[in-house]
Amino acid sequence: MVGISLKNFSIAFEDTKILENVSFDVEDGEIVTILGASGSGKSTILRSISSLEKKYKGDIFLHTCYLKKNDNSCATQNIGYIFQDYALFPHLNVLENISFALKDLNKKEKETQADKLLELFDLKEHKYKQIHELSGGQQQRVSIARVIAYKPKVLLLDEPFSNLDSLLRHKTKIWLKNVIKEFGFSAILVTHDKKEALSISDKIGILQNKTLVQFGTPKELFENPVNKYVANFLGEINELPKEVLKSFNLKNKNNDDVIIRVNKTALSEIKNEHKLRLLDISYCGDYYELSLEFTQHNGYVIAVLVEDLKAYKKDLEVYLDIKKEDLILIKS
Amino acid sequence: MKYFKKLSISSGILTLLIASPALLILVNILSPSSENWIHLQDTVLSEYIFNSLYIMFGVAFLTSFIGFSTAYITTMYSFTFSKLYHYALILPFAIPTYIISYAYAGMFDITGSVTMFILGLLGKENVSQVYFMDIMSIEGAIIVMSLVLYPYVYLISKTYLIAESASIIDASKTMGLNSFETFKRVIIPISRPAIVAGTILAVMEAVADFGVVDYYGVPTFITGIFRTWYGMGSVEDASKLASLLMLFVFTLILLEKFQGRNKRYRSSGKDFAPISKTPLKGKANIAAFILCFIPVFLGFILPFSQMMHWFILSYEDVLDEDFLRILIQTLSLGVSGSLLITVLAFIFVYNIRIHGHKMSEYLTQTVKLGYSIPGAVVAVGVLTFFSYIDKGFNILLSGSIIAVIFAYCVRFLAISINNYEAGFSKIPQSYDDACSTMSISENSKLRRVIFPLIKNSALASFIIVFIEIIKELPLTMILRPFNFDTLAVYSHELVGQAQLYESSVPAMFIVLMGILSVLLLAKKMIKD
Repeated sequence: MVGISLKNFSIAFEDTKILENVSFDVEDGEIVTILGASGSGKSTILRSISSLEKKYKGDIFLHTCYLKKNDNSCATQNIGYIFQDYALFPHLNVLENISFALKDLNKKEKETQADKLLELFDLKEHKYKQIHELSGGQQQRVSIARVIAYKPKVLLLDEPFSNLDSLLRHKTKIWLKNVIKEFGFSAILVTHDKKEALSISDKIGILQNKTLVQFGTPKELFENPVNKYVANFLGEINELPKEVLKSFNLKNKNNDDVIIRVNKTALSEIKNEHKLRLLDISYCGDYYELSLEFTQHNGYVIAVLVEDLKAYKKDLEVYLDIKKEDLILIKS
Repeated sequence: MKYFKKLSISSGILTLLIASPALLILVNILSPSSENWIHLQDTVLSEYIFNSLYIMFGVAFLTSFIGFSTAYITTMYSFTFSKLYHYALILPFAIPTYIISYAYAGMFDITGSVTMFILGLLGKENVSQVYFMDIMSIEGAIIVMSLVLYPYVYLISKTYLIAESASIIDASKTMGLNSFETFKRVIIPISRPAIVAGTILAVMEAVADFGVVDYYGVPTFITGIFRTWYGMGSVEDASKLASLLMLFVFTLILLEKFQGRNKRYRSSGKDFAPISKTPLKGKANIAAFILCFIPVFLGFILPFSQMMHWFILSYEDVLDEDFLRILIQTLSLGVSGSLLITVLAFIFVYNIRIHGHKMSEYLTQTVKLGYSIPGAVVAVGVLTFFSYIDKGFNILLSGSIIAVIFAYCVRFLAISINNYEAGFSKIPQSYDDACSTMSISENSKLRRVIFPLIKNSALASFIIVFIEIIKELPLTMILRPFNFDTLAVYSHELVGQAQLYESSVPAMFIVLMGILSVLLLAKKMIKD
């Protein structure tokens, strides 16, 4: 069943168009990530679904309920919004924050319900602590517990990991994924971090030039990107001269660009027609990044990752070593 | 939705009400000249203009010199008691200009205590035998005003230096500039906007002053308004003078805005770097200590001691039932005025937070202009405004407490609004959004989130406005109902009756409340 559905969604602030004709569905229990550059309108989608923005065109459905712009009844307590800064109230303790939105319950019932979540989210010992006494990860868990407390059907997460350090981010990502699946929420997460998107999502939507350019599973997007922007957004790419296709007897009817993932690009000492000159070597910790230019095709500089420096040095001449099946023809 | 609309409409109506007196005053500038006005033009108007300008430039020079030099020294160097000076230098703010002028007159006029003491040391009998500058002159007025108003420049310059200069100073040091060159070529140019902003605030206060110039007998715009009103009985001409003064003040505001827009520098670094203070030793240490001690001594310790001395000598004669009545009147006026202002300011600022559109901001900016209009001018505007209401509704509001409190709203709403703006800036918008997504009603949000988080700002606003009302002199003098005195008016009247010692009793009450205000300011500085 469809949990959230956007149909021909468009929004503008004053004279500036932010998004145009965005349509996608999120099934029950599905995690969808909207990826896009800063200012691409990712958070605006979440704000519109939760009725914080109302000046949009198009339709939004929550399950079968039509979200009217001047009537919050459909959105009421159906949406759980996790804010980037968590929006926890500093004058309330953990328990008070979690039970904040619980309605039609007496104090005892509220506390019982909050206790269950405190237990579930490993926050029991922090029950009476003030928010500033918690770590970033604990604060995030409180913010999620606060929305889960009123049992929404849909979870909207705005850059949920941006305030966590890299170690905690990984741990929290797995935990959050399990929570969403366990409760069966339809969830939309917005981020600009491709790693986050690839690892947590059932589907990904990419925003470019005010619209959703591609929507699909992470694998579909990674392997069949619709354009260079999408390809680049989901992983490092090298753009190759179109002449490379000739050596593989490949045709390029639409005069598309030729790209290959950086991790699929290798070097060989065996001579072939794609000679490269080593321009620079950068140490990157686990590996070295080599920058090379095609000697016969001006302007094409590619990156190759190697674990061992071997005899690589500046101005060395080497040869491109790639497989036909790794080449991607793509629109500019 | 209805809730939002109500809030918006209330803000609009309130703005119109609050701005009406100022608009009525401004309209007066176009009214035809009366005989009285022509007489004023021919006789005293040029003197009013000259004296007001003289005071402006004098106060500008002295406050910028004292304020910036002390701000620079306490920010850049550590020396004996430098941490204490950090806050002691704002103490003169606690004493209203008119009260310091009474103390200085008592000490330094022809028969003042200090004058007589020095004459005694010199073996002279009277001032005609020595070089003597009468404190009760325009120069004396400039000096006493500057001693109280320099903290405007001190505070703004200091805040600016702390926030902006660390990396710039470090950069100039790495380029081989010594302290003097850094001061001349870097510090002064980058601090100019802050110095000018502080100085303009001080000058605006000086131009608006009534107590000092009235007591020292210096004819200015403000005393002119009073004389035209009470002496010549001409409300229209007083209004016209007020409108001229208001134009004067608005020109100053525009100047400040203009210079601020074009010359405000921001360091390019995103992160705040604290200034590493240079420790001073030997003569430099003593010089810095003395330089900071002089304004604290002259602006606070000396006049406060003099007032305290007079207070001890005279309190038994003054503290009677009448005084108690005046005290209660003052306190109730202060409490009701500041309570109303605190509530109204909340409506304005909360309206901006909820709607966030330009119109709400313009409304608030218009209301905030009220603080820059001198008290006497506001009083004239309010009287004119209420005279229309009196005629229109056949009631008598002018000369009532309602008119006085309304005038306080016009003048002091800006203080409260500023406090709330600072408070609300610390409450992220996401709290409102979170409430909205959790379907928390607007009333519930106000009660459970906004009020608990903004209550400290509301309390600070209440106290600061309360103290401003207690200190207010010209506005209260003009608008108060018959036989209704406040501590400020009572103190001024006692001085007018040559009862200088007795005037110190109501004055001390005002000063003690002023100290409370300064302590609040200091607490805020520590917090920030």
